[in-house]
Amino acid sequence: MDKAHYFVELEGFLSALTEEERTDVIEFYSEYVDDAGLTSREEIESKLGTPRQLSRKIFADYSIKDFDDKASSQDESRIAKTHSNLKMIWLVLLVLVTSPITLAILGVILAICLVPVFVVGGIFAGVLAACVITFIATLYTGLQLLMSSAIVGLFYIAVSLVSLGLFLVIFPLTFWFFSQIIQGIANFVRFLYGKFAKKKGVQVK
Amino acid sequence: MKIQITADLLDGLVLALLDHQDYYGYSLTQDIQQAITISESTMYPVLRRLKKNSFLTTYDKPYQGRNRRYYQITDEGRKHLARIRKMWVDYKVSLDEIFFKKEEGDISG
Repeated sequence: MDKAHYFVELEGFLSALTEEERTDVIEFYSEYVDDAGLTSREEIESKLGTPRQLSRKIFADYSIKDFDDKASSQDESRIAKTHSNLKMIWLVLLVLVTSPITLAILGVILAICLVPVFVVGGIFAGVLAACVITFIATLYTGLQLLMSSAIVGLFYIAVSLVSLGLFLVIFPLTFWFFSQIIQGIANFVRFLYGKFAKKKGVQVK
Repeated sequence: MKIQITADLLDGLVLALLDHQDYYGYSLTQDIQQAITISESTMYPVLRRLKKNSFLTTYDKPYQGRNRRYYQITDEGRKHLARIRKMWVDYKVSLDEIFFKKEEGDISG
């Protein structure tokens, strides 16, 4: 009974996998539990962890590998890549959170990652907003002055066009910058996970 | 003190065991655990990766009214095992040279 419950719960946490992947991983661990002679919930959890913990380990392994596969294929669009990076960062964070030792340093890591993002993001947002405001204000003023004083009006319109141009240059630059940052954080998180997994998982006696 | 093992070496150990006989998941984990400490959830991703790279195949055998999945090494897997063995020997030799370095002018050396 305990075993059936355990695997129903585990399956519930694995809904993001494909049917085939889910069946495969469930079969593996179900067989493992039978062969190891684990019957009570306590015995199973002492070996495999709770269903939630096991599902997070499974997910982290899947997304790390998918990340590797994707990083090697060049034709993938940047946005899709950014999404998969974000997903991976999130999953690895979940794994780290489940371990009390890493929980303490997690705050520091988050701060290190997020502070430059917010600072530079704020600068970019500020410059973009300034461009938009200058564009609207000078265009309005320029059009108003065009009738009474053509030269000054044209000057204002020219200024508005310059700020529009700046906006169009900086806007894609912002996107590029953020995808670079997310890529950087993803690499860093993956590096951390690698260290963590090695320490936790595999050691020579 | 414990020495950390790399993913490549773990792949190599699994393939080396499979080179002698076919294993099912639990027995393979047990035999690996004879030599190194790995958590119970380490083996699945390793086997999945090796299968994806065609270094091993699987087949099912009924056992006491349920299925057991056996893992069998392929020719590709044997080639990969040979590569890892060579990598390990090179590594071991170069480290031993430092660990067991003889003093210069040592007659017994």
